[in-house]
Amino acid sequence: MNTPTKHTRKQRTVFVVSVALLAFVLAACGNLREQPKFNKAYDASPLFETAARELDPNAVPIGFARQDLHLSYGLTESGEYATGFPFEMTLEDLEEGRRLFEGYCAMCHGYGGYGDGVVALKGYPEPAPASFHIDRLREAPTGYYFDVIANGQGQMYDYAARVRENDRWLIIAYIRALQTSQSVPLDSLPEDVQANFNAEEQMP
Amino acid sequence: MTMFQKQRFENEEVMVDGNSYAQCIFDGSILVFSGGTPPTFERCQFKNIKIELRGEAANTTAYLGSLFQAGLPDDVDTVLNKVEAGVMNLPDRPNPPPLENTGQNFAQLGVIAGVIAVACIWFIGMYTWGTVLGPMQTLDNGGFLRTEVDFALIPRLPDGLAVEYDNVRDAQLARIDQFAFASTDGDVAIPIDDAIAFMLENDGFPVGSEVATDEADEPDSDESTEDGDDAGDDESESDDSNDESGD
Repeated sequence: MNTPTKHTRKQRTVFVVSVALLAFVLAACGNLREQPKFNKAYDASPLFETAARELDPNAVPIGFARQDLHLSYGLTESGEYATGFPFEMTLEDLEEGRRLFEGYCAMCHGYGGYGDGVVALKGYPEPAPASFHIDRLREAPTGYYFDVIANGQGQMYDYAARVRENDRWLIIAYIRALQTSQSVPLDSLPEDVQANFNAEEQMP
Repeated sequence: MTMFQKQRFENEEVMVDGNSYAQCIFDGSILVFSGGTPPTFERCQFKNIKIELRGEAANTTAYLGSLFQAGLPDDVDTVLNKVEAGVMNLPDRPNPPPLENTGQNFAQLGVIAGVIAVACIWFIGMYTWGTVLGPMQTLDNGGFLRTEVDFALIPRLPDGLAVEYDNVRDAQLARIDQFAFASTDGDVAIPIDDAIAFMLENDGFPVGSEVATDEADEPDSDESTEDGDDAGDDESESDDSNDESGD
């Protein structure tokens, strides 16, 4: 009589555990097998001859319709840099502009706008961040600042995706205030400010 | 009638009358049969055993011996041939009971359940860590899972550097919050808050895309022109070209 092959209890336990672990590991392979792959592109649509329909060149994403050249691009109707602001500034706007400036600009341009931010102090590659108090930038139109914020310049990358259009104008307003703060004719100031200035300067 | 399954009988005397043996091992044992109900053996192993007949069984063999001695060897051989062929007319006996569960099946089920339980605990643990405890850990909130491993998503400045940057910021903020002479031409620096108030009261932020530049820069337009004249055209152009790329 033929005796069937005998397995010890330990062998059977190892077999069962192995099968269970293998099943557990292989259970995750289904999604990987069925997911879209790079080497198997979607078929082209018979209507558009491409897998994905191309965007209309005049398509505008929702919320991105920019019809105001001044507000959205900092330009005049003739394509020149705008020299003013697109809306009235208030004290709250300036405070918000200060907050945004200190958050986005001060690390390079410095809190005073002299181009001496902590990034520049630690070895920013030349050219160093510009100072807002040089003649060229003091005389630059507001649209120029808007353009630089939106599109970047030199080593500065663009902040179009980080700073909204309205907020860019708030920052520009605060920069203007900074420029005035650091150089303004004394005789043009109100009398109380002049008095404060004289009092401060006469202190030892 | 007793059912024995997967048992080992070693060097002992086994009374087999009426019993059933399945997958048992008999090693050096003496199988004693006393003429009762014949036992059954299924898939058993026998090593160095001895067969011993007692009582009724012994009488049967003695009877066959007497017949053999009496000159009927062929008849005795016929009986033995039937024994060898397994066609003996045995009395009916009840069906053996079903095999008893020895617990081995439960052990196998336990192993499988244990593996599944460990896998589930592992999955839940990793999911919880990735969605709840991990993000908490990145904030270094000092919880019980706080570790020295530096995998925080939020970079932190060294203490010394942070203090240095704080000092730089304080110095720069102090610079725009004070009165000072800005030039020898009567221009001065005033606190930023005073400058904001001054500009708000004096139309310092003109509305319109094409306002006159002189209005926007009225306070310092004269000063900048004078500076340009003093510095010279070549120098001012050079400065401008450098500054443009540094914005």
